Amino acid sequence: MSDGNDGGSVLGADPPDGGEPVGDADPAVDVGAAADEVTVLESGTELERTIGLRGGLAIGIGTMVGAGIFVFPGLAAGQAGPAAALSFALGAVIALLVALPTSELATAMPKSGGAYYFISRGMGSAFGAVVGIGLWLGLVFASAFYLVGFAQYAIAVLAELGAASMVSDLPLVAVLGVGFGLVLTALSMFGTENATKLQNGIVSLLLGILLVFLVYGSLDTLGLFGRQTVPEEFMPYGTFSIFTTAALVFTSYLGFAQVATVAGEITKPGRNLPLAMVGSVVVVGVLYVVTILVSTGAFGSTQLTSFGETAIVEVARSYLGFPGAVAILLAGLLATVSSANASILSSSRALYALSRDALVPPQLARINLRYGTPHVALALVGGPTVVLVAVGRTEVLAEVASFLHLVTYGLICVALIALRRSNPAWYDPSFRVPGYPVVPVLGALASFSLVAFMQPLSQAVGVVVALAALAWYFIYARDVRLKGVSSDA
Amino acid sequence: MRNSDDVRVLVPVAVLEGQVIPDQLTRLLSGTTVVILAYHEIPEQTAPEQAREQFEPKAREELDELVSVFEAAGATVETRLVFTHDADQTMERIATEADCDAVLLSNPAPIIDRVIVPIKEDINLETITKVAAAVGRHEDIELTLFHAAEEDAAVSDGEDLLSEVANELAALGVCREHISRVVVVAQNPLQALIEAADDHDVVVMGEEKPTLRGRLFGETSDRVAEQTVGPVLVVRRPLDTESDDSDELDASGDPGDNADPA
Repeated sequence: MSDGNDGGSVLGADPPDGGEPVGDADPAVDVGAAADEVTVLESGTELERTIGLRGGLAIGIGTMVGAGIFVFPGLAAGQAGPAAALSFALGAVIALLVALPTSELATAMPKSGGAYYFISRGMGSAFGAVVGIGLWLGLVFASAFYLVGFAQYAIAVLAELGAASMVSDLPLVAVLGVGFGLVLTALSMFGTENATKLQNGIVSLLLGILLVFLVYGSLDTLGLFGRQTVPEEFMPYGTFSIFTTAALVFTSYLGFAQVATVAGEITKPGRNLPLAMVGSVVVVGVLYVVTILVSTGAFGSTQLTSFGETAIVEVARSYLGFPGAVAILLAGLLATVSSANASILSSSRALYALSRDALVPPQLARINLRYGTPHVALALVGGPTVVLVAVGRTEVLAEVASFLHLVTYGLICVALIALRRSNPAWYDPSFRVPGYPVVPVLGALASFSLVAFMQPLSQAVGVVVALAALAWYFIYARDVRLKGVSSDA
Repeated sequence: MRNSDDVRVLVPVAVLEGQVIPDQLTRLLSGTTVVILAYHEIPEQTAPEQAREQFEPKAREELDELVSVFEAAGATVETRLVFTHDADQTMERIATEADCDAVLLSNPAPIIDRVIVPIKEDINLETITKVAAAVGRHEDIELTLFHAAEEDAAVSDGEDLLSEVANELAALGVCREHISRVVVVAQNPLQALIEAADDHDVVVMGEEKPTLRGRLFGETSDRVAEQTVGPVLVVRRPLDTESDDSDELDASGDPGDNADPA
């Protein structure tokens, strides 16, 4: 049995005593009393917290690291040249500006559903519905995007094996992406294996491979091994391109807020939630920036673009030869799988949170009696995902996912400001944003303005989704009263 | 504060999986304070609160039934109901919070007459004696104190140890005629215990310090429960005063070290 978990009290949260319902459970938010390792509900029933800091980081990093390295270097370099590194850095800064407010809200409301929960409690159920549905579909788009990336890596593996020519007349990306999407959905519905441990292992292996590759690549780029870097203008496409590219690649940072969707299951939430969110953004941000510098150091951006989504494989080959290419292919498969998997699971949590508040029919939250999994919600994520994989284009999928997330992120910052100003009695986060109100204001402005730099098609799809969510709210759920919220919310 | 004679036993029950506690065990624990931990383990795809919403009424119902059974037998009962991704972690936490002396690893037990208590020097003797006395005070229970010596020379030390424990048990109200003592010489103490436990119905044993071997092959008590196919009362070791390596990198429990009590 694990004995490593007898939580020292952190930031003032006391463990519950002797089976008594904790008396000061806050009536205003139906959260129950959150201690380090358990949430005690009013009925005395306990919900164990089982995800530690490493688990939280694995969710954050595992969700994010898929895209920025294994899909975007070619696309981003094509739009901004080597300055794409700045786009990634800008993305990281924006992500941090949002991660800090998200952390504060998550420690005040450590419940399933993350962003949906904060915004519905901070700004009311109409915003909540738009965000909840946006979160669900945003993650559907993101999962589809990761699956397309997975398919491209699988094809590259086939090519490496010399088998691609045999099947070249099939629409391989769609076939592989849809097939694997179905496999992942089925696994999450019927599998009861320890997925977290698997995810932790995958992320560790991935970071190991990337570290070796990036350290060697950086040293080589700096000329330590006698390499001539490809001379190129840093900003061949102008300053503006940095911002449009940042909007494109922001998909690589969708993930830190997923940590908040399992906030109810994280141990020592006051400490681990902020650390996991901020830590994962910092880790992947550094990896992304270094990746772009290393990639554009190996090839000119025009050539990098011509390699498409799997450009990083060619970069690895140029530095480390065939073994490098194989290792990166393997890492690419792992990364896209872990991102897609984490997104599917988070998305089903978002649906659950919505149905809990009766914003969608309660049947969505039903748990399968045999497998103990929320099979309806998982099917409602997996189904649309594979449809999108079959029809979608990578860039549009990525941008729509970003659009929906950015709207949510902006609203998270607004919700934080709203809650700080109204300051209800129950609002007592154990982590507080440094630099309030500057950080949330900047976070909101940055999130909303990145939306403006997207392609018109992505913006249109995003707006349609948001309007559809609002329409749903007015048709289905206008009379909904949120649990534990005073009527003027 | 709790009465120091009070023996507190944690009884974990996978409440929605039809796990039953045999009547004989209920009777055996009738002189103790029973902390019933009704838990429901759910896969990671499911939020605990989501499972709670759907299953809480049913779980409460089952739990109430268990409570009435234990109370009818004369035990004092406390209850906890937990939804968790990791049953081992939950048991460990509740055992600590509820200050339990022992944890029951339940197994089928058609009859319970003979209880074996393995004794070593370096283990939590005082609490083991207290727990053994609580179950041994029943009229019809025979207690066997068991010691495995590593070599012939150590046998007499073992005998001294056992008679000391026997005296202590007698002082705690166990009838001397119901206590027998066995010292064997064995290379492999665990194997010797499992063989000796063969004609006994319940094992009362101390929890060992976690070792690398334990992490790899499972804790001794779990292996005993697995191999004897009988219930095991694991007497918890006193908490290390400064075992505060309880830091972050504990994403979940240790791999595969649990014999599922179900």
